[in-house]
Amino acid sequence: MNQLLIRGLALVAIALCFGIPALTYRVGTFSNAGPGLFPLLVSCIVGLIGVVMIVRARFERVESLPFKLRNIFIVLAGLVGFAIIAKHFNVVGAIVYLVFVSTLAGSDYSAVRNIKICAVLIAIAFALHAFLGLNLTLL
Amino acid sequence: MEILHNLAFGFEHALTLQNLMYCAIGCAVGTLVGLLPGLGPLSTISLLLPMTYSIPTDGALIMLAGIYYGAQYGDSVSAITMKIPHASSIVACIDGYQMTRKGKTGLALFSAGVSSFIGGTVAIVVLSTLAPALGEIAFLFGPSDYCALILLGFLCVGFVTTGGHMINGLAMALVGVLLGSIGTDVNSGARRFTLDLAFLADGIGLISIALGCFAIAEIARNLDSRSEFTPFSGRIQLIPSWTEFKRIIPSALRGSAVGSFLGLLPGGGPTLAQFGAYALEKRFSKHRAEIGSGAIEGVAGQAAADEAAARTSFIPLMSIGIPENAVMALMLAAFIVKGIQPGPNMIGQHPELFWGLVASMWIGNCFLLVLNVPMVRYLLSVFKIPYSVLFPCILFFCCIGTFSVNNNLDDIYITAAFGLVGYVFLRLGLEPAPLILGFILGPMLEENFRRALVISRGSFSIFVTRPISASLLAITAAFFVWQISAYARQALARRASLPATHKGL
Amino acid sequence: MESEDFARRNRLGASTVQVSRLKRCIPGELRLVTAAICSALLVGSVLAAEEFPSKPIRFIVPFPAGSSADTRTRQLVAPLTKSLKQPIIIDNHPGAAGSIGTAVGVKAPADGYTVTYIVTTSVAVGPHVYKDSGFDPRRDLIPLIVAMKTASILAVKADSAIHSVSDLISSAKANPGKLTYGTSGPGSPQHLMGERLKKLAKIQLVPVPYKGDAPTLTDLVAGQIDMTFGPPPATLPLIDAGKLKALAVTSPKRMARLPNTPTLAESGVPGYDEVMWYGYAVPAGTPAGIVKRLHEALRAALLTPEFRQFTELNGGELVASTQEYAAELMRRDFERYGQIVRELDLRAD
Repeated sequence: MNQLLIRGLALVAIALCFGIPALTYRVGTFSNAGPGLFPLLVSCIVGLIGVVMIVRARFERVESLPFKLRNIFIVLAGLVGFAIIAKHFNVVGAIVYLVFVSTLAGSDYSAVRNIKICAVLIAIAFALHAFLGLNLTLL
Repeated sequence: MEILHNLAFGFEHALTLQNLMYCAIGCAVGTLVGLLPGLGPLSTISLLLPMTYSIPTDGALIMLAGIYYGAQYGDSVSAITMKIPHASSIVACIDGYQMTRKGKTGLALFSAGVSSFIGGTVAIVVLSTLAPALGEIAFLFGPSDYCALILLGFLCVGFVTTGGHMINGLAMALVGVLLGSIGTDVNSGARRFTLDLAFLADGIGLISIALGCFAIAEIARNLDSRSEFTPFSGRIQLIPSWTEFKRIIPSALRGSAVGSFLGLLPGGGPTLAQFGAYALEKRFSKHRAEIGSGAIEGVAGQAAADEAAARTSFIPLMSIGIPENAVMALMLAAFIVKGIQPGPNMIGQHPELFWGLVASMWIGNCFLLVLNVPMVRYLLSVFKIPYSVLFPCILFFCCIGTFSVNNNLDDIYITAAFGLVGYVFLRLGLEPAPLILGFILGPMLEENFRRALVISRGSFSIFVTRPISASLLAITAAFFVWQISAYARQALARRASLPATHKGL
Repeated sequence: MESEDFARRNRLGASTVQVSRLKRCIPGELRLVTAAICSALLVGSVLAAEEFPSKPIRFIVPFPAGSSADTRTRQLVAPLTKSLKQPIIIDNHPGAAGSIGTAVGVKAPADGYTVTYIVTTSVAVGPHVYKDSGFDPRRDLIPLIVAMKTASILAVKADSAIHSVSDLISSAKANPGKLTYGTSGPGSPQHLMGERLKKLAKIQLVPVPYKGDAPTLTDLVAGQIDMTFGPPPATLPLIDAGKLKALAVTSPKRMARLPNTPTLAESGVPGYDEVMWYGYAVPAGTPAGIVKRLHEALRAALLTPEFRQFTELNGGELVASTQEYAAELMRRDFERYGQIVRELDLRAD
């Protein structure tokens, strides 16, 4: 896929995401700006740059680096799960989840090593709670 | 002469065994916490603030200050070694991390340490000589002047864009501006782009974006390449050669100047100082071509600016009593609890606090240098741990760091979202540093622009009638024109000499 | 044999068989046993209420560490720890002008172990401005006490041409829409105070929003804006140092720290009365015995000499009210500000 094309498309998408809601806020004039003025203005410029990039993509081509979605999604799943478990249960469970899930993205998986990592992180969490007064339900 | 007298008086207070101990504790704790990815000076100070209530005032102030500037250094370390930034070490992720990838971590850390020392020293000299006068600077800058200054700051975008075209950097900066507008609009109270979610009502946190775009994206990138990159391997070469050492000094001095000045202005402090220093290096340094791919100057300028700004940001608090950023607001709270009202007469009413603080900053500076440069060797051995063990730990610290800003677990979702966004941008060849600059500067620009127009009742002349604003705008315009013409000349020259260009945007 | 077999295969069945046999044999005793158990539980619950607290108590402060809300609450930690004999943990949950933290406090279990800091902005004004805050203070909170009331100081630059409130009013009438005053955003205390002044004195003033008190006061000293309603802790030092002039205070009575400064009510704006109050509350449904215990502990902590001194230093008026007064004040201000927010059309959506 042409990297330039994707970049341009991404910028246009961002411009639309921010520009369209900006129209629903009061725009006003420069001397009496409403909440929508700046976002609208900036979205237009971003959209314009995006369009320029898309046009250039027809003439130039740059190969894009491969997207490996697996790893980033594993990491994200780890983070999001950490937040959910820490909120509804406790941090120890969240740490265990985070370590076991995120290491799925590594090159080799070892449950024993994961347990050791969990132990260290749990100890650090307790230390942070005791010495810095971190406000989390640990257990 | 009076200054020397005051300093002597200050040293008398700072050199008591108790205050020395508080200074040491502050610096050590600050550095340690700064090292931990994700946790920064703001979270640390707010967590440790209650502990200071039972300590005498001067000791508490010395310790908190030590934590603050110690954490600035610690943040640089985690940015350089693992590309995990905090508010004031974002730029260190650029050159510093590049140096790590080239195996020059020891050199980078040494440069950071020495530059921090130089930055701190310059700032302390500034504090001692100019403090009362400098406090008044904040009063000279009105909203239109800030607007002009921030526009000048936007020019730094070009400098912070390392690879590729400027237009990418500009686009990213503008995306950052859009992201910065999420939240409650100060001027109208309207909630913009918050999707009715309560935790977005105050906008996205800088830490969440920075950790997501830099740290998380980098982890994903490293995992993808399966090279299991370990930050270090092999010997740690700490002491630089004389030529390398000489390169540190001019950058550090320039950085200190920028940092000392920007630290005085409300809102920005160390966060903006690093960008200013980096831009200055890129413009004026002898080795500017290397900056962006791992040059000492990139690290030195930022580290010095950081430290300098951290110290001069005490000036508005102690000379007028107005805290100019969140960390200073915490210091103010510490004072109030002790029954001291910081105000315009603080230096006069409590000279032992002010001069004791200045003296202990000097002592803290020396502590940091002595503590960190050798300690770096031990710290680095931590990074000999294989990446597959290290990265879950980094993820954990990112979660804790992002949580501890607002004690809100929902911020972790934002960090995760920006991890994805940062990764996508990384793969598309778009850089996060200009995005963060835009994110910081955009809202400030909008806020000040609209405020200037409310005060001037809708008249634009306020931008040219005020001297500071007019001169800054003139500088910005001149610079902008110069940049465009230089770029146009370059492009024409290139097109003339190379018929078939392979250059992508 | 058969029943034993059955019992062995089905333990539960066996005990059921035994209980039903028991039931069939002695129903009258069962009633007695039930009565005994009930009264034991009753006594136990009463005792449990008196044994409160048996674990640390969490105080939720919906503002960042270092803010005035935080500092005020931390002042109470020492006396409360002594009287309640349990550690007090302060939990900061900043965001959305106090709505986020208050919502957290409201959703906590109603067992008395979570106390929330409440202030006029977060419970009387906020819910009208932020409709999706997730709580209704009248329904979801039991106020324990009103701790302190703070008026604001109407201040101008020291060398300003305006020397008194009457100067201000005549200047505003001569130049409508020209005089500016600083606020912390639409719906903030300063904004509401300014609007009240505009309404009662029939003048026009232009609000200029800032992000907090510090930038507002900086711009006031610099002369960028004409006046502001400054909170005493930040404004008093600037007045003492001669950078600002106090024109009036917003409370009905003069402030102890500024005996020579008139109130707005006595300076030509009769009926002006705008004070901010703060206190503490627990979620609705907390047992009455626990509520009373917390109220008494807070009251005692507020009446210590150290806290009195802290109040005076910060220009506030110590109240340490009764529970009923607290509930009444919250309800009254909730309705009053609802009206003002509707009139000013301040909804943040």
